[in-house]
Amino acid sequence: MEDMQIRNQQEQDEFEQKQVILTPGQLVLKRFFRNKLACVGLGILIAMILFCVVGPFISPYGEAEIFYINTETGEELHMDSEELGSGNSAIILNGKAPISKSHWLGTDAEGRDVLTRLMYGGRVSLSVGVVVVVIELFLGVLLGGLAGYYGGKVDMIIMRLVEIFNCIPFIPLMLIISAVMFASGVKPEHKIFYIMGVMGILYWAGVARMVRGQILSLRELEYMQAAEATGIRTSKKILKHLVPNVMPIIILIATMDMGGVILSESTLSFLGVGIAFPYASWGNMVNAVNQSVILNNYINIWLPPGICILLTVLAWNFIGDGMRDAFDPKMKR
Amino acid sequence: MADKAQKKELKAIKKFNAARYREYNKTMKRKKVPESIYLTTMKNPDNIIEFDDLKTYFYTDVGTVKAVDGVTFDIPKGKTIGVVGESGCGKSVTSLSVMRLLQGPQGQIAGGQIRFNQQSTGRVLDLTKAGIKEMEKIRGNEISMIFQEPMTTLNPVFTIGDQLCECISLHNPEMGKKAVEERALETLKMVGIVREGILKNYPHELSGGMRQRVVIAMALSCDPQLIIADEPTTALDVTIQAQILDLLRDLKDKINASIMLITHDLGVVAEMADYVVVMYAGRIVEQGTADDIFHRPSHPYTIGLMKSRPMLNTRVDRLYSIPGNVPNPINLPEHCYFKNRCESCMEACSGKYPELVSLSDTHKVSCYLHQNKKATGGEA
Amino acid sequence: MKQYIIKRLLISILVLFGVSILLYSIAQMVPGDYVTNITNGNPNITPEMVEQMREAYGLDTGPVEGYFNWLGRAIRGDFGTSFVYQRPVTEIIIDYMPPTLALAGIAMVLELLIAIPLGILAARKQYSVTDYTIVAIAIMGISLPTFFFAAVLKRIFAIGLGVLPISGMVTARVDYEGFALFLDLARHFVLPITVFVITGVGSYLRYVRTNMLEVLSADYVRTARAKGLPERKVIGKHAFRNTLIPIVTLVGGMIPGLFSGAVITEGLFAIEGLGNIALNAVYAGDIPYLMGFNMFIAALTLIGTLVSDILYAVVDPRVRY
Repeated sequence: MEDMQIRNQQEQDEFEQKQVILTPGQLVLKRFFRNKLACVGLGILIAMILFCVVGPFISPYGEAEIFYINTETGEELHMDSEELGSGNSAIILNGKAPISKSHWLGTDAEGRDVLTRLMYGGRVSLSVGVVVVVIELFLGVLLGGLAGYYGGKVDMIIMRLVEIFNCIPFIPLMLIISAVMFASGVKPEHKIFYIMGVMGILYWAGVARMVRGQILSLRELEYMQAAEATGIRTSKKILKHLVPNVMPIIILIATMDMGGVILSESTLSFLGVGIAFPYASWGNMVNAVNQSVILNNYINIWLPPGICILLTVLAWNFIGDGMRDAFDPKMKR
Repeated sequence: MADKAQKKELKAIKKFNAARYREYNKTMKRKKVPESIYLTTMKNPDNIIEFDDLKTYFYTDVGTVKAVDGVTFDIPKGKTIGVVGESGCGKSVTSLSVMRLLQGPQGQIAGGQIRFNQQSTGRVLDLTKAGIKEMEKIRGNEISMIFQEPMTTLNPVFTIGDQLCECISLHNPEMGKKAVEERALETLKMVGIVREGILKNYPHELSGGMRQRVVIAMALSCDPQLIIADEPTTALDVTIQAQILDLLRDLKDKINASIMLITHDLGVVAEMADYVVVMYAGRIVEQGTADDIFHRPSHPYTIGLMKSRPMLNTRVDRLYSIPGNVPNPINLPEHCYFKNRCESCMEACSGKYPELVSLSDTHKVSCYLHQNKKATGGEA
Repeated sequence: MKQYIIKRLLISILVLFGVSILLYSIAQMVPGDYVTNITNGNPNITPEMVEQMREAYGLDTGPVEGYFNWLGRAIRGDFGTSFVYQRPVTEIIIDYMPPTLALAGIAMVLELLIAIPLGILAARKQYSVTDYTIVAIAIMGISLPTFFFAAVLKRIFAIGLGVLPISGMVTARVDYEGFALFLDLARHFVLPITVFVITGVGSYLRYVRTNMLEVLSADYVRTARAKGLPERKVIGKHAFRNTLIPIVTLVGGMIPGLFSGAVITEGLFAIEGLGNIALNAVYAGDIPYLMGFNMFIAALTLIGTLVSDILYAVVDPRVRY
């Protein structure tokens, strides 16, 4: 009889071990990779990052390198070429050059290589995304966490602040800030940092609200009360119990917002209130469509940067969507 | 290495599931289902419903969960059947299979028959194959259901009257608005609600017990032939539980319907049921009259259940509990599922799953302990 | 109910107050000689106006005093005089509101008309090809840069095919009247509204879908099916009525997005509305107009939130204030 029981136990253990059991992390990853759109998004994003980070090293041209052409010989000249000073009237700016072997996507109206600018512009767009998200997360998690954890007056004040930020739309507010920047004569090469900072500050409210909500609902849960009852230190409570549970939503916000930030930045740059010369940004490259000649006849100048924005934002959104589904415990499949 | 094998296995599961889903969607898309597909005959015309080798599977990512695996039992007309078992043993899935309310395409009926003796037309329908239009006529009308959670089963944005009258007028289109309302009040009276203006109340304005009464009234409103009560008292507190049980018992005498009572509470079954079915891990381990099960429990699992019940007038230091846990429902072993928790387990138990053997006309058990007593047993 | 509305109104006023401080402090950051610089070379601007400007932004007095002076006037509806138009900001806002409201209003209605049925359809067929297609298209819409999409549409429909006007509100040098004028206007609004709707509808669609999914897994939907209701009624009555609750909140929250969208779309298609003026105001440094514009949007947003809060109580019987 005893014997039988022991054997049973062993069998049971063996059986359990053979089961396919996945850790929560594995489950999330598995659900994420099942989502085909998310995989496509990840693929596009990796390709885009490679293009922007590695591309400039391969490209023979510089970001602001201007090309001239000798109309008589058809020979192309770099901007630091000696012949430029020769006063040869046949040498003109090689703007709006068609697609050719030396310029795979042609040149823009100022005679710069479109493909090369695309790579540098991507660097700007992607890094703006990352920096802004880092800033908004820092502020949002800090303030949202404080509001959710302490409640009461702190919560009241922070939430009113959130409401204030929520009821002014981003673009109109950005316009007034840009007007002030114009008036203050901010240097274009510094502007990119201002833009990053301002966007980060304007975006924190949404993050704060979500983090606060998450923490409030966590506090309601029994295990938090149990943790409270054991009398552990506040710092430990936050680090061991709250943070791991808030982490998914932070990762989620980070990916979901990335696309939106890149889109906003490109819109600002397009409107001429964001990243400006000498830096290339996908947004200000599309800005060329304001010249109707370019809109009509030089699709090679404005279509590629537009598609780059679309693909990058799409990739982030697909990834964000996949993440959301993967993190959602209610999704059974 | 193991990881690779695992991956391969998961891939195979995925492929297998996809095929099942496709099949399911195809059958769901059928607009008109010819009668020949679902008409059948009863084994015994005195039964209201007959489960015959019902198999309901859930095709999940980690494998197929055989929630109900070859369940066979009958519900005679006008009788109450108690279905007992631990949580996750397939009781609720059995009832949802009858109503065809499984969450498709993951959950689907994989085989067997549910024969329903439809009084109004004199036909016998196989509910596993009937078209959705046919099912809609049966649901709430001839078979109705009382759910476990009264707090969430009523739609929060409609009044009680709305929800109750909706059901009545749906199945009785000839009735006028006045008549429907009268009928609604009548059924509410039957479940002990006589409050004025209840029809204009929203669910959140009622207490849990009241809501469950409303849900019961809704189930009764169309004079069903079969009422499925899925743990009707579990979510209520003890005093209300007693009230609701009293109510159900009263109703049982008043209306001429069969009741399929699903519960894990043996006390409830003892009070209400004529017949009892004991389920374990998706299969029936023992079935018989209430008398059989309560006085002559034969399967070690049933015996365990009986022992783990608190009893008056007996002194025990500790309530008995069955050791171990319900096995993982995926890839169940070939042998008896209860083997690893069983106290009277023997060599034979490692063999294939024991068949049901009849101990008497009504009493059947599936266990090797009884296999020799009446070797002639088993289902036809 | 009345008490709740009053309470919400008071909070809204408090928030609006906060908005004004925020905006004013941004405007405050302009350098001291800003007004002189911006007005230099503009013959229309009189020295008195310059003086008034300096005063308005507390460039002469301290920022605190300046703020209260400004606020005092703002409460009376006086946001100062626009540099570009030489007219009171309030007047400009009232004059140029119709095109913006028409654009944003039509777009909002269309967005809801598309988002609600498609969101419900996607939720009902979760994990099916239909669902994936709808969600993928929705995400694509969200990811489309407005300006780029507008350029593509212009290139295809206005230049390539020549079927629709490229920009503006009416055909130049033609005087249409009555219905012909209306048709001309409508033709000019087709592309802007398309851009608006396609780039905006995605997020609402996903919102409807998520909420519908939640409702569909609720117990009362199962109850409705168990009653024998046909699927059409289960979805159309029981499930829809419950998704309506979050949709109502959504409508209140749409307003800021609509104005953000209006700025860009109007700019792209040269529609003479509030957004377009705001864009030009940036280049002209017309801070009074921008302040007024932002305050106007903030007030509208707060009203929108308040209205949706009240509607919430109407659709959800559980909510009693």
